[in-house]
Amino acid sequence: MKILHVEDNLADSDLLKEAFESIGIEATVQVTHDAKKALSGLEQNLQNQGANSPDLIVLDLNLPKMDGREMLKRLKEHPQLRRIPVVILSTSNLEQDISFCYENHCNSYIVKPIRFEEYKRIAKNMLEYWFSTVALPSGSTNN
Amino acid sequence: MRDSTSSTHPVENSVSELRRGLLDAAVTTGWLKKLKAKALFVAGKEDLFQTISQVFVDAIFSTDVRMPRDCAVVLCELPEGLLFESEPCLKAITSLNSEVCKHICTVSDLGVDPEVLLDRATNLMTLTCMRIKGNPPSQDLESGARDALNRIQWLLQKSLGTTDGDSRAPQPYGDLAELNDSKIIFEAVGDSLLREILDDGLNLLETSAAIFESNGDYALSIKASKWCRFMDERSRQLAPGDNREAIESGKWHCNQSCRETSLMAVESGLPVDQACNGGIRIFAVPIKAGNDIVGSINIGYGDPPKEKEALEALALKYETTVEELSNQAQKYHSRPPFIIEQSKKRLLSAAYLIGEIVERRRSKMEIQKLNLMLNERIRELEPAERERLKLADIVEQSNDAIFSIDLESRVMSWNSGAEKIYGYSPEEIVGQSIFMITKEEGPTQETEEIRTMVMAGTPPKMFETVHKRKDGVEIPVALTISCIRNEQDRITEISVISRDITEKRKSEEALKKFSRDLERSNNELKQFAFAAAHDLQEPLRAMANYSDLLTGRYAAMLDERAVKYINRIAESSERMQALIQDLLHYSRVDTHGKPFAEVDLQEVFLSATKNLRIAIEESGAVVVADKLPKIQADRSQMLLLFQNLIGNAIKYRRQETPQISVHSKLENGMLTLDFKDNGIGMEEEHFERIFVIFQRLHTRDEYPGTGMGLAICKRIVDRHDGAIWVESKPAVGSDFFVRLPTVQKATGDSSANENSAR
Repeated sequence: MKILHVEDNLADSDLLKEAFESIGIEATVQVTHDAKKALSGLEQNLQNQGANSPDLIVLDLNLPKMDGREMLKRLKEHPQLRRIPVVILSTSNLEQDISFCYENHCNSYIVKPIRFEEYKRIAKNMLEYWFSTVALPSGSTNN
Repeated sequence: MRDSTSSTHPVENSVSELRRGLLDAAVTTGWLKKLKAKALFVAGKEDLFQTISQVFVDAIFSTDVRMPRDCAVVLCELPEGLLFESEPCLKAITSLNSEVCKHICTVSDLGVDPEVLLDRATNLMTLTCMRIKGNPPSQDLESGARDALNRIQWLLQKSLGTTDGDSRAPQPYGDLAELNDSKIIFEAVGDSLLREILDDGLNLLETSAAIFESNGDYALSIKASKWCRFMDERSRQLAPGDNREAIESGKWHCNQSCRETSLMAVESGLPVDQACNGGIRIFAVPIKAGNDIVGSINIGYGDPPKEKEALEALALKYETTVEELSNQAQKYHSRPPFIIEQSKKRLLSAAYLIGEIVERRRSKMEIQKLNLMLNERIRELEPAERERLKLADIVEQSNDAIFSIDLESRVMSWNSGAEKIYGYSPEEIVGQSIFMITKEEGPTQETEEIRTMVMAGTPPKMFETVHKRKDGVEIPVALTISCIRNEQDRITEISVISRDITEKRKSEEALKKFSRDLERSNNELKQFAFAAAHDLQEPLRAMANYSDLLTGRYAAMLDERAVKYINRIAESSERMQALIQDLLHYSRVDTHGKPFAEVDLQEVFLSATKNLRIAIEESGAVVVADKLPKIQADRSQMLLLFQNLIGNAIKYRRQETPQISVHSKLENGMLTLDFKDNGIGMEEEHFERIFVIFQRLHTRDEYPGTGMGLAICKRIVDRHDGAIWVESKPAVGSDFFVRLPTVQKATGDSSANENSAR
């Protein structure tokens, strides 16, 4: 399972990795803080017939350069890229942010928890849900 | 009837001598035979004349004196002191016994021709001129002449006031004037004056007189002479029924002819003179008041008939006897024509007089009626006038400028408010152009547009502009313009109410500035909140999480105390984050407040309990509510309010099962909610403190929480223009009251200028 984690805060990206590790699920997490670069990378993957395309994108909102909200829009407007499920993982619990993301077709929205226990639970749920429960569109690595 | 052989008059001794002397003279000299003169005048002063004439009459007619065929005996009374004589007369007279002459002639005048003298004498006569012509003195002639003289003899006896018996007494059949329906003359002139007027005529003629209204009703009727009374009463008896029926039957002859003659006069408008049923004549004169004939006045005249045929016809008609009629007729004293003519003339004057009185009375009544109408009108106008004065007072005392202009833009009226605002006194500005007070001092496009609208009858609603005071200072004003119309509904004036809105403008500006400041402040707060939401919380989260990772990963290397300390760090960060969250909620109540809309509080209650279901389940709380109404509010804030209050009720419970209820009361547009619980309650000294930010009554170990919940509730309630307060008893329970208006005055849109200034 390939996950693209777009996050500028190292502490936060490490936490997610730690969470995955502690529940013992194998997942390849690619972290990037540059949304622009990530997008172009994703497009390149397409040219390579979807090789290295992530199965899931975990996206923070408050990013330098290109904002997470902007990336979400771009992703979901892109005819091919929009097939990749996007889970927003943000500190913001503001209603307007949540609304915005769902309006722009994010697949789900999670507020970053404070304590680690919560992180572990979220990570477990995320992996179980997206990789054990739901069916993903073809072209993903999960056959 | 006087007997020629006796004298009832007082005769002086000298006169009786004279008489004897005259007789002797007449017989012995046979002077009358010799008389060549055509006329024999006996003239003298009044008293002497009376005596002489009697004597002469006696002398002439008592013996076998023969009068010459064509000799006229003229007895005339001349104006005192003046005697006429002529040569031949004098000669004739002086041929008589000189004794007689001495008594007869005194003053001589200038010698007048006997013919002329005769002529003059007849004009001045008050006695009938007896002319004995062509017939030898015979018994008939004698008695005829005597009769004629006797007939007028009574005049010498008559004086005013004596009446023929009881002629003024009312008739046995009653007063016909009672039947008067018209009463125009009767009321205008009055009974006593009418009687006086009729009396004039009756005194002279002693017959009957009547005054009729134009419809034939009697205003007054008097039967004075015995003849008239007899005939009238007799014919009344011939007619049946009461007076009215008798009149209409046509059998009441006397009444009939009186009325008929009068009505003829009324209809023709001219005097009528004709015979009446009763054998005499009636003279009727119409009474004119202005242009109308309102009635007539009539009087009977003439002698009752003496001829046999006439009497017989009359007796038949009146169903009586000739003897009776003859008897009555005898009682009537004949009147000389002169008197009759004079009476008729008097009647004409009387008719004129009565007409005048009626006319004047009419005019007076007209004037009275007009007066009444005028007073009525004045009374009507009084309240209208008072109203007008009241309005004028209001205008004058108003602080607003109230003035009017004519169609040439000249000032017509200017109240004291206008003087206060613009500085011009009425003397300075009335009659001048209104453009003295406008900024441009002349017509502009705006004023022309306004003028067009006004003249079309649709003046503009209140609008604001800038005027200029006398001292040159420009002032903002709000004008209300209306049209004044005249009786023909044409617009003749334009009235203006002008209000100085300088203060209002100042307030508006201040308010705008305040709004701008508030908006700026809100924006800054929003930015702060945004920053707080993200940047402040990140480090806190890292602290908590990595503390957890630390105790997780390195559990083996850490002792209990170390773990405890590290947990404390994590918990502090957690709490800090919660605090920041609450502060954000608190600030967002106003900065992120949504516009007010209709909110169903019933639904809000259900959502709140759903959100709290875990806490409700864990505590076993029973949460109920009355039927809650819909109000104008911010739904998410109402939800937060309900959650906080119900959540608190669950949190601060006692051992007993928490019984939580929400009660609702709607009154005068205000909703009062009571969040009732049976929890731990609190002392009265804390009732106000708990709503202050960060105020807690318990330790965090006892009850979790940041101390923000109620402060946020208060902020929410304040934003909705309501109130929140508590009543409580320790160990019994608490009632948290929330009062909210059902309708909001502002829109609650915090992005617009229209912010509730708090």
